[in-house]
Amino acid sequence: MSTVALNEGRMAVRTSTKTRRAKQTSTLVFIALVVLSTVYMAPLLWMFSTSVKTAAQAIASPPILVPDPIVWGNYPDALIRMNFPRALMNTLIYAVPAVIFTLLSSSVVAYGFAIIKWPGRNVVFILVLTTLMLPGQVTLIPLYVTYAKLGWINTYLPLLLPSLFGAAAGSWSGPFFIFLLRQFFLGIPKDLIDAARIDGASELRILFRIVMPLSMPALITVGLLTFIDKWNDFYNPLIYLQDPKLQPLSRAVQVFQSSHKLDWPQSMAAAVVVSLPLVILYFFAQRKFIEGITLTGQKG
Amino acid sequence: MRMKLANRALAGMLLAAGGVIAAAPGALADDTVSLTLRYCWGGDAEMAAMESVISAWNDANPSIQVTGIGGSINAEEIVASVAGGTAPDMVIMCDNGAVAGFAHDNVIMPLNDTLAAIGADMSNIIPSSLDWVSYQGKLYGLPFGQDTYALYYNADEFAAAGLDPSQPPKTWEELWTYAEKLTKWNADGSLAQVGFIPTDPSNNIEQTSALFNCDFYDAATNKIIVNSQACVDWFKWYKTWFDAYNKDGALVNVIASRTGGDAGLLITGQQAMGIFGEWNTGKAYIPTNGPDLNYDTAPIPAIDPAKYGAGFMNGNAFLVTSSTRNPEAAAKFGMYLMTDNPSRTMALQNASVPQLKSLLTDPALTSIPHFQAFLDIANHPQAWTTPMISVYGELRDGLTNALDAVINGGADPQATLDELASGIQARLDANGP
Repeated sequence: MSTVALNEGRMAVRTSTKTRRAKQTSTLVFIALVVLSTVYMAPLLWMFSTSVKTAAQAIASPPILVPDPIVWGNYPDALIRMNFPRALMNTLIYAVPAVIFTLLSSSVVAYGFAIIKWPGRNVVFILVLTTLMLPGQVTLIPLYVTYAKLGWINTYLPLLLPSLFGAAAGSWSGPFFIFLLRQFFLGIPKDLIDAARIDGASELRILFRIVMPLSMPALITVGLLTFIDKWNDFYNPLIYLQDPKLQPLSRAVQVFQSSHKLDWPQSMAAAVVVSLPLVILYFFAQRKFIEGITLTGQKG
Repeated sequence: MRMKLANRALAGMLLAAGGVIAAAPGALADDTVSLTLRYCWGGDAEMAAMESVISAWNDANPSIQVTGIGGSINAEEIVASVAGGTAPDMVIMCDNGAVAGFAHDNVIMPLNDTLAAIGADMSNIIPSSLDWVSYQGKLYGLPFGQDTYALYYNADEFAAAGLDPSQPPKTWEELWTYAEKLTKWNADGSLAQVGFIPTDPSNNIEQTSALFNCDFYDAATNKIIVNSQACVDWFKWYKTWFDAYNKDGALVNVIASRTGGDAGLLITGQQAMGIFGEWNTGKAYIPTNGPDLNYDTAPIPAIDPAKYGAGFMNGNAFLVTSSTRNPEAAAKFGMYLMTDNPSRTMALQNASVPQLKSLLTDPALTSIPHFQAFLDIANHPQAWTTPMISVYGELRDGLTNALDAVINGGADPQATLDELASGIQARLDANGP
């Protein structure tokens, strides 16, 4: 009995030590995460702080973190100056369809590279990947001339239609998304595909009914990245949209920048408002991302 | 069947996208010439000012109607639109740095013949203002507002240091002596106040080089000459300041602490003298950011007394694209910009120096506190601009890197500038001037 009691005592001590160590580790990890989060949050906090300052407070030395008074009026003023509703609508007009088009086209191409076997598949895949290395400046003039001949300048079509073709034209992201989806599709059990084929399903049916539902995490990632890419894109709207009435949010924020001076408070207020949908979308998509992994069960 | 349906759906989406999203350009009137002007100002106040200038033209000239499109301009945008045949007829660039490259690549057209054809009177334009819109002996644009740079100094600090605020330094030796008297060190070795900072808010390469008789380019021989002895001495001058004042990074720390615009350190009293552009005298700048600052402006010191009072100039370039179908109408609009009212409107809006002789004595501009120095600099016969060569952008970047290597990397000025000169010369030879 005494031996058993002694062993139980030793085990209790070991468990207690392990628990204490685990708690210490957790505390250290927690502190490290808080520090890192603070570092990453600092620019956002500064952006928000500046958005409610007066012009003098925004450039004060030493810098002021918590302004007094807090100027909430910067927000309505900024939104009016940049004609926010119209700029938002202009952005959504091409950003939302671009997400749908990118998901469709990238999935189809990735399916062809991952699921269907055909001669030269890997060579073509490498060719697609090499387009990742083409700087946008190289393709700018040929693309512009093409779009101009089609009468698409001052329309949203140059910002939108490339998404229907794997977005390889004028965007870094197209080939990347094809690559990402292809890698994900390769992880889908081949037995599922074969079973569907035996049941007479067409390749498109297999893609839309089996592969895509099983690839929700990757699709959500692609969708999210596409939306962020389009939402933040300044360069392509600058090149293709000259009509002020068509300008999206990324260009509307220019009204705060004059030749040598930036209206810091109102430009930061605009930045907060313009960033907010992306932050919300990210948190929403992050939850869905985890849900997708749980529901699809990639073990096969 | 399903594939067909999918194809139809896809085609339908495309057509819908094309039909709904495509925005038709504005309709053209019968015999009225319609011109498009792409201008570089994107701030709402600037755009309003420019639109008022365009509106005044349109009211007075029903046969030539101009539509303005504002917002920052990327040079690639203009090149691509000319290549695509959808370029605006006219462009105003806020930096003349692209002019030589545009001219070299036929993106814009020379204006000499067109201006002569419409009988343009150029006599009211400051001659040196035309230098920075000229390329290979031809006029490729018209200046529309310009920037000049001067020495700003804190008059109260001058008085406190026993210096006469009405006698700013005129030579580099005087600047050094003044700076020594105006510099205050803290006990810990940091700088409480710097007499003069040669590299803030910019490295002042273009603003100071000619005042050391350092020229970047010899047009007569088509040679890059940034490795001349004068240029080497100019680089050594920069290094001298850093050797004296940047012990343990003291000077860099002051520069890094600047907030509040270009003249932030001057406003906070951390800097007693500095080189800044004329726009800092505008009401949106020092008068707003540092209303209590007692300062004055003067020409930048020069190694050659004959050059004292001259300065670097560049600015906003009005250009006509090579694809326009109405060059004469565009030139007429350009010459309208060369009249007093449009130039005054934009000079006051942007706090910039006008390109017209008649406005150098205009009360609306001469009454701006501390602005007279800039008007005088613009009118100086030895005012200079950047070399108008196709590779100037690379040369400027190369000079910036070379200066950094000399100041911070301890590189030898002569060897560094020799290497830069040979590299840019090769590019120039390959590309053409």
